[in-house]
Amino acid sequence: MIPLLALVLGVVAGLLLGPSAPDWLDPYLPVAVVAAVDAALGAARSLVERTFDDREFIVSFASNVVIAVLLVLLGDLIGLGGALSTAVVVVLGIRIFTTATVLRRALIRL
Amino acid sequence: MTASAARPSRPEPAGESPAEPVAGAGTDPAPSTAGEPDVPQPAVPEPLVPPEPAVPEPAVPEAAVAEPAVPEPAHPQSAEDGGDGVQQVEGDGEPAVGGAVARAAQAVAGEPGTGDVAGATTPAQPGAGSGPPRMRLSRAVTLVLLAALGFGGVVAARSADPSFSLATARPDELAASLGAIGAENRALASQEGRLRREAAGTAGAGSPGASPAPGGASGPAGGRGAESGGGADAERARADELAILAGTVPVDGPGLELTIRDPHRAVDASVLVDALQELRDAGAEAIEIAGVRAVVSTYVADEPGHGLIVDGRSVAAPYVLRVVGDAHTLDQALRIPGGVLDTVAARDGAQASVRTLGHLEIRALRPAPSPRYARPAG
Repeated sequence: MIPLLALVLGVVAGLLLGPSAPDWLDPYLPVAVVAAVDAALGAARSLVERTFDDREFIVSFASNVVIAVLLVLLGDLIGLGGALSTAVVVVLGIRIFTTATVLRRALIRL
Repeated sequence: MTASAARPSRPEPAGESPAEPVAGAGTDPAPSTAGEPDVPQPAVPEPLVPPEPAVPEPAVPEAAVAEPAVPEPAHPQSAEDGGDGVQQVEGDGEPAVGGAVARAAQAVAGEPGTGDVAGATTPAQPGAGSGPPRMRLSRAVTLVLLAALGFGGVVAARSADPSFSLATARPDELAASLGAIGAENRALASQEGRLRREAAGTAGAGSPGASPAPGGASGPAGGRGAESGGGADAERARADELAILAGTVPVDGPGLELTIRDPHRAVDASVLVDALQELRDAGAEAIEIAGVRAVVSTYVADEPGHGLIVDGRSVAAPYVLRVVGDAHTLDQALRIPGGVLDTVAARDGAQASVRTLGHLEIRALRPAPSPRYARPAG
């Protein structure tokens, strides 16, 4: 519950403050968000499986985001343009679906 | 969460890293019930604040449980699935219970609390349960990260908003989208023209029968005159459009005036051609360059030593372009970074200024073109 509230709080803060991301963040923010969603879903999954650990979540969240951003940065640096960010999004997307499936099975048993 | 219900009464399972301390205590299995209840309550109240309810609570919770007096070390973890609050009750005070037990108690305290009164202070969440300050810290970080995720998501969504992205897009992207929109616009305009002709044709076909012209003998001619509502109006509008395009009629309307001062003759024809294209892209409907009405065949050439030649006429700086069209759009088009104004400013001593006008008149005219070879096809 409370984690959900935290999430909602963040969303509300975002809506209320209406910040605009600085330009240099443009390519990275979306990927970072997807990575974070992956981490958060993973956390939900471990909650369901009773293996949740805060520290593990923090580490996985941070490393997910950092690695995703670094990959995109690398792609920019070596001239791949958006290709690597597409790759990151695809891989994370697959993971998200996998995790979502596990979650669904655990929660709904379908 | 359904999961919570499942929670084993045993403390051990919980035992994940954080939990361990408690596990030892596990004298009695906590009542499974105790665990569940907490889930719902995760009484929202300030989870973030560490509850200080201290000592008293621990005692209470147990009672509430109805279980054995000893605190059930139960599963601190269970809390986790509950997913709520960070704070486990602060462990300090349960000295009341036996030493080892006490430890457990504190951990537990959180959850029982949920069940009962304690709820308010201690968040339901036993979850964080085991390791005191550190756990609390990491749970807090967890929540902060989640909040950051929500925040970041919103920010990213806002950045992706097209209206927002236009403001930060790079000039070449803007130019590309402007081009795309222009092409779409032209396609739609031609479609509109076709449909209008079709509609006019339909109206023309229908009206003669419906409202026969006076004097049936006049036949087609009378019909044409009568159907002023349909075809004739469209024809006239079409003729006006073409006249404006061909520069055979004076026009007035909103627009702007672009003045390029060029004391050192640093501005060459390419600058004016670019300006002309930029203005056309931005929807200029009539343009006058230095007194010459610009039409489809307009050209601009350099004239060494003097200035420029526009459609055969020598012109000298300052060059004044008067444009009828959407003033704001035209203005923005000229100001695009790297666009006309920037280009002019980069030339030695040259200066460009734009003045938007609510109303301006272009009186320069062109003779109507009379094509020698081309004939309308079909």
